[in-house]
Amino acid sequence: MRGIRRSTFLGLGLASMMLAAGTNPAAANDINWRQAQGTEIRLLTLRAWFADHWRANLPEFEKLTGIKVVIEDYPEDPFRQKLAVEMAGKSKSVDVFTTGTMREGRQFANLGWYADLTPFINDATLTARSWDKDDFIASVWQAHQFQGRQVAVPIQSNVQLLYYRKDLFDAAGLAPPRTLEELEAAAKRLHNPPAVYGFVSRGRRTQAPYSWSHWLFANGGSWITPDGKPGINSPAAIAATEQYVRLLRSYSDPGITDNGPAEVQTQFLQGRAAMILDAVSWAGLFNDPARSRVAGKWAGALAPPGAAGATYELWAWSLAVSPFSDKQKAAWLFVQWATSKEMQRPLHMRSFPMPRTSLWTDAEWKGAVEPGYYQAAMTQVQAARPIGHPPFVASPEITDIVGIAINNALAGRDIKTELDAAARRMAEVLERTEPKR
Amino acid sequence: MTARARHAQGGAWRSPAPGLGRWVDRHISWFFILPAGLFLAAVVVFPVLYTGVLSFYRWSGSATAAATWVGLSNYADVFAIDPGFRNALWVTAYFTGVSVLIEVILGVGLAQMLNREFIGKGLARTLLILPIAGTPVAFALIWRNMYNPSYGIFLWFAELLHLPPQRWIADVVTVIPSLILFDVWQWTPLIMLITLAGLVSLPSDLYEAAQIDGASPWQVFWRITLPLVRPTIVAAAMLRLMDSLKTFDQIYVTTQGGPGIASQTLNLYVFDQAFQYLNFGYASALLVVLFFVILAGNLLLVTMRRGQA
Amino acid sequence: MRGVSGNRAGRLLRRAGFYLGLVMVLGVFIFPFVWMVLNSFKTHDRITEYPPVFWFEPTLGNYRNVFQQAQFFEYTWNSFIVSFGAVGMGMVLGLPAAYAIARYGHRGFAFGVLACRMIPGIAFLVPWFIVFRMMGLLDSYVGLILAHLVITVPLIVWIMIGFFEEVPIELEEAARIDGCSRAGVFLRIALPLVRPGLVSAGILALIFSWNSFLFPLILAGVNTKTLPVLVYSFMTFDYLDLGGIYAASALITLPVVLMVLAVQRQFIRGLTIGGVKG
Repeated sequence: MRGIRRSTFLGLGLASMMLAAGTNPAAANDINWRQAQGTEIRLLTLRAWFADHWRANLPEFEKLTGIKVVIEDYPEDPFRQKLAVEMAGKSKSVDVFTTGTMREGRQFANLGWYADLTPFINDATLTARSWDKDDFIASVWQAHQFQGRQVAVPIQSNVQLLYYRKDLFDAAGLAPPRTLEELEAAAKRLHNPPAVYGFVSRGRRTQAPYSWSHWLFANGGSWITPDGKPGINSPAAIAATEQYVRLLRSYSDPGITDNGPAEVQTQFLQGRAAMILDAVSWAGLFNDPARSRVAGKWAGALAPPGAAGATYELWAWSLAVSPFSDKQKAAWLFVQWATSKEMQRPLHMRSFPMPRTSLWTDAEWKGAVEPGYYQAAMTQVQAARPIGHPPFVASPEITDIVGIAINNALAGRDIKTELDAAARRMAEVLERTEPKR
Repeated sequence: MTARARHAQGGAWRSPAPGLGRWVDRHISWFFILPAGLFLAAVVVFPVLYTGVLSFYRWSGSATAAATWVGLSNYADVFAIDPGFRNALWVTAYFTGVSVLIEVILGVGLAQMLNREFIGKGLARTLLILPIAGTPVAFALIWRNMYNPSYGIFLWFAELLHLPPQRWIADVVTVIPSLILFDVWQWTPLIMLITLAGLVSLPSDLYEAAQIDGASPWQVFWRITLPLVRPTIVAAAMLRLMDSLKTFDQIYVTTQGGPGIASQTLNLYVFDQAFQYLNFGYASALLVVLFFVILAGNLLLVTMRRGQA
Repeated sequence: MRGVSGNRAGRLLRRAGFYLGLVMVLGVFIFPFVWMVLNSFKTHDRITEYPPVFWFEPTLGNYRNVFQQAQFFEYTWNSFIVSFGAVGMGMVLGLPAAYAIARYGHRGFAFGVLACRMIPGIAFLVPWFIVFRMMGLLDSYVGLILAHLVITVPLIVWIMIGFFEEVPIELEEAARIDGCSRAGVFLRIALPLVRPGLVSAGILALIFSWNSFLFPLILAGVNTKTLPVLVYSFMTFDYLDLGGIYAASALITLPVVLMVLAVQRQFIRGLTIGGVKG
């Protein structure tokens, strides 16, 4: 039963799973996959399509390696809580876990919560040549290095591109926006509540910084000034926030201060959003006629640049090995298998973009997806940087401080006051947590 | 009576040695509280000490560096500079104060309403207590969905009644009232239930006397019923107060403390400090403070109850 | 008011008003349940459309998804074991304690029990995790039941004090004169008399234990996860399967609702709470 467990979420086709299972990752059998047989490892993971994919293919892995894997998955917040308790308790029972290094990488690395994967990767008896480390997109790969250590291996590469309703744009004689100004103009033009909202985005406190940071960088702002001070209340940051807040308060849905990814997605699926700037991985869902009212009616475009150009945002979930685990060898074999080209390919074909160059350039994928979407995704992933979260040890706390400020601004409070207050708190946190320079 | 007969009557738990048996029997109450006491001590003492001690440290769960002793500085931060704490204290007081008050008033009112004979009484009572049985995390997701300002059922209700559309949990002003409504829905039945049990057991002769004296139903309620069930009501209110001050699942699932920090109660703030920011030391200090807030709230109610007795 | 009450029409009108009010109150309290059941038969698309539909072609897909979460029945079984275990053990520990408090004072101890309920659940998580791991209790029924006892024991003690206080002391004295030991009085006289209270305390404790989310999240593993965790299975970080959430919620609530229905008569009769007469 478990082996063919049906994905409840994304209509995972059985066929694609079988395809993956049929291609044996150990085809180029240059390492001994059975060197840790008989062990049992535990994977603590975020509940997501990748976890479903691994679970579905687990029998294959167990047959290949003789390692038994227990997969335990939770949604984001319970997952973080559970992981934090286990790591703070130096639990030996977690062997592999998912992590968002762009958010918590520095913090976890600083706390010693990651095992260094470099020795495993460099060990020819442990890592198959076919795993091909160089196939990983450089920018994504590098976002997983801290203090000279490889702390995790990416299991996706997510950028935020513009999804727009081609039918609405055509009807109104509009071209897809090429700048943030044009985006605002298009939003204004197509805003027709409650049937259609011009532009819907994540405004929820915990999610807002992730979306907002695109405006921040597009307007020449940054999380931090060149002299190491908080950059979130710089003139550029204030201008960016004004633009962002004006856009959303004028042309978004009434739930803006509470919108998370699920809400943004629902609005687009229901045809109630003319544009969204969000995860590249939603394309498959949007084109599934069983669940989407906009299948075939949308197209993708580059995230529009602002006055200062564009800095494309990168996000990835990754697999890390626990430093407290006694079974790191088995754990690494699992990570290697889960991030192999063969395992990642079926997901990529379903438009859950993977971190491998070979998959992005795969002709089959290119032929299957919407051309504007392909162009945008391709351009952005090459140049993307992890700007969605501030690059500090206390990144989660600072992200939240900024999220509160943006959220308050979206609720109508004064932007400068909010950002100034947030900058003060950010400075306090940096003072407490950053190594003295 | 012979020792043998006594033994037969006293049952197997009676010690065969009469001296010891009598001693045990005389101090039986200690043997009664001992298991529960030992158990609670065993599971509670360590966490309490752990939290108390950790509240004097700065610690992020590091595997490499030891916790740093910071003395009372966590507490100083809590009271002196942390705006998050002040906000959370206010939100907690607002949420708990209003929701428990409404629940008590409504619960007593409903109990009074149901404490009579009418057709369908059993069914009405049964249906009314269902919300208590609802799993908080599940119903929080459901209420969150019902509150959705774009398609939630509440939007439709407002339209039906020709009211302006509300943004419910997406608005800084309406978020706490919305959460209170959810809480009132779930827990008013508990207060009702407890009060009802109290009402049922009231002596009926008092009422007969009042009826003979020609007291109006309103007078009867204020002068006779309320004073008699007051201890029950206070006990029920205490139960709610304790839980309400610790409310976590419901708020976390619906709003995560947002918009901004408009619904961030103390318990949610502790959660963020501990599990989002990994400030375990600071979170411990907040937990100690939260415990005393809950204690103070309950002592207040107890004094109210004593004052009335 | 009294003037009207003599009047037949007025009485009828008042009765009608009462039933109208009753139906409205019931409507408000029952609506979320109705909506939950209704939505559990809708697709995600139907749930999120506006205006909401009340008449639609029902789908069983959501329920199928819940059952195909292979662990649904395991979770249900775990929930039963853990909550019944916690209530049963809670009774064993709590009843003698409640009796001792009702009959012999021990106010300090009573307060201590209550104080345990005031400790925020979050305070337990990390320390318990450490201790449970050392004792090998993680992901075990014993560990979870121990944790849930912190929920059930104070509740049972608190509710049962009131019931024991209401047992007529004369009955107990008579038994004592007949030579019954104090322990015997508790078991043979007091306990049978408070049976309605036992039902109420048991059900309430069961509900709180059944619905607990935080403790099982941290202390349970793949083998012992309980039902509230299941609701969350329909939430991934970028997709919310509302249909699954509604169906899972309905299924999780069902056993508790059935239990409440089964014992509702005793439940309502027997809920006087802690130290009412004290």
